[in-house]
Amino acid sequence: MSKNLKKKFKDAMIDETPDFKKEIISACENQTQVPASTSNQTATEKQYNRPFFFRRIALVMSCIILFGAGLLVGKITPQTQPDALAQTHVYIDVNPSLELSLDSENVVLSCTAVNQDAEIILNGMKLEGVELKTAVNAIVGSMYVNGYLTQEDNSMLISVESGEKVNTSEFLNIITKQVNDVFENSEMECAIIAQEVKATKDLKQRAKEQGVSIGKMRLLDKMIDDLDDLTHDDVSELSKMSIKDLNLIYSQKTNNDDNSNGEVISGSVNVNVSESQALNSVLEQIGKTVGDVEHYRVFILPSKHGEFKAVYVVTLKFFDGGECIFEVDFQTGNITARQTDDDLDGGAPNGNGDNPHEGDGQHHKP
Amino acid sequence: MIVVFALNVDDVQNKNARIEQLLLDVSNGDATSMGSLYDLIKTDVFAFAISKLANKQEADDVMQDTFIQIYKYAKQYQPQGKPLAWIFRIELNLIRRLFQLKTRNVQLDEGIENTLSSQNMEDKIINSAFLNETLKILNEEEREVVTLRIVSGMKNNEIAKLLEKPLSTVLSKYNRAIKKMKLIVKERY
Repeated sequence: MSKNLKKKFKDAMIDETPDFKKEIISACENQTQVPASTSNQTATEKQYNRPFFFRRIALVMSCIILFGAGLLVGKITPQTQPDALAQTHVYIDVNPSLELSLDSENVVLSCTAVNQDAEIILNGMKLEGVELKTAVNAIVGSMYVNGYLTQEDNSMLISVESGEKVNTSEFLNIITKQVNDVFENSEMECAIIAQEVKATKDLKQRAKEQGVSIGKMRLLDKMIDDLDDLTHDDVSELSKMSIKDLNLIYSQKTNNDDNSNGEVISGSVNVNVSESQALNSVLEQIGKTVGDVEHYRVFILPSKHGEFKAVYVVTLKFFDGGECIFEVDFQTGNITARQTDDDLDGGAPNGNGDNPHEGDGQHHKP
Repeated sequence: MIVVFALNVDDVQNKNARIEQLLLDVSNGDATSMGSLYDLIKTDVFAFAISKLANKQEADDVMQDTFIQIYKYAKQYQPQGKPLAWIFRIELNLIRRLFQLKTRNVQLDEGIENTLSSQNMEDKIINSAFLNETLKILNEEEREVVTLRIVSGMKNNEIAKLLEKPLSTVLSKYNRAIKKMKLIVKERY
């Protein structure tokens, strides 16, 4: 039965597979002969851009105008200008990761795509010779148009390595404002962490080993230093987390204490489930009310159960002496892991059955 | 039983080796190899797309975009014996971007019933109806796990890695999916 079932399923898929061979080969031939088209979009995206078209058109037009104006009035410098002239390096991470080198007047000397997604963002744009503001407009605008920056995923990490003549904290504020200005007339808001970074040989080496940008590596270092739960053993798992999740964790830390490391935090990360909703979700699922709870805490940490992503950690202490800890998904409000003490056995909530680590004794401490 | 399993593993390994060779040829600009690659993996690419999207039109678009991306980035592929995982990652990126761009109201009923093509041959009609029902009754995670395992022959741990899910989740999703599919067959086919 099972064998027939699988064959039936596979045969059905084979029958339904369309034949686009000619179209695809033709499209591929064009890819080799013609440089990237003026549009960044794929056929799939074009279909679904329609509802967003009018909302986006103003932003896109403003980016194009600013980009064009920047080309006209900006200092056009030779593209082969040596990197040694660079005064400032800016690393931008959304997931597309790219690097800008700037001269002393904040004119772009080079713009490099660090990964495949960033190549899609740049798509043939020549930013060398334009002013930083123009480049930021073009890059952030392209990220938005290509769906890398959305209402749901609105986080960005900006890392700046500057020369001695540059006031870094002032520069961080300037570039943060430039990103926010792109969305000035829209409902969109970016959640930005702008930080200073020193691209030492060690940092570069570790970033390379983890396959992340220098900026993301620096942020991971700071998180490990600042959060007791994290150690350098966690770095390979942390490196897989999205900028959004890292932003959630790091922003919480900076909200709770004022000892920031000189970074600029701007905007807030959009999540579907708030802290109070996470708490209520847990109470509802275990059949308790706030009246049963003597003490509770809700905070954000990387989950150590299954996927390595940011989760709400809800700790509850009941009047009857029982305690329990839950991990709650930001997007769904579902409990993804739990730990209860012996006093609550029997009355404790049931997990979804998917998590192999449920009740494995791991206990998060804030 | 053991022989059947061994043959299946060999088939998958041979297929992977063939895909890797074709990717190498494609990266050297051999257009005819792109056609051969398409023939070899078109069902894998389409099945993964429809398992995620549950909509034929969207799956068709993602399928085309995926092959174009494969062609574009073939030079970046580093042979590790798992070319399908690399291809599905490209496809997954396209699907995620699609999810980001469109409103998140995928209407399953509308998407599947209206779009899967009907065919003249009786077997194909039955298969199509079975696929429709299967896609409807399974949730997205079950669909993608069952498709990767049955259609593409991927191992559970490879699926877990690709989908960034715990192995136990993949196993439970697969088992649930098979149970649901058995029910469909038992009741109607």
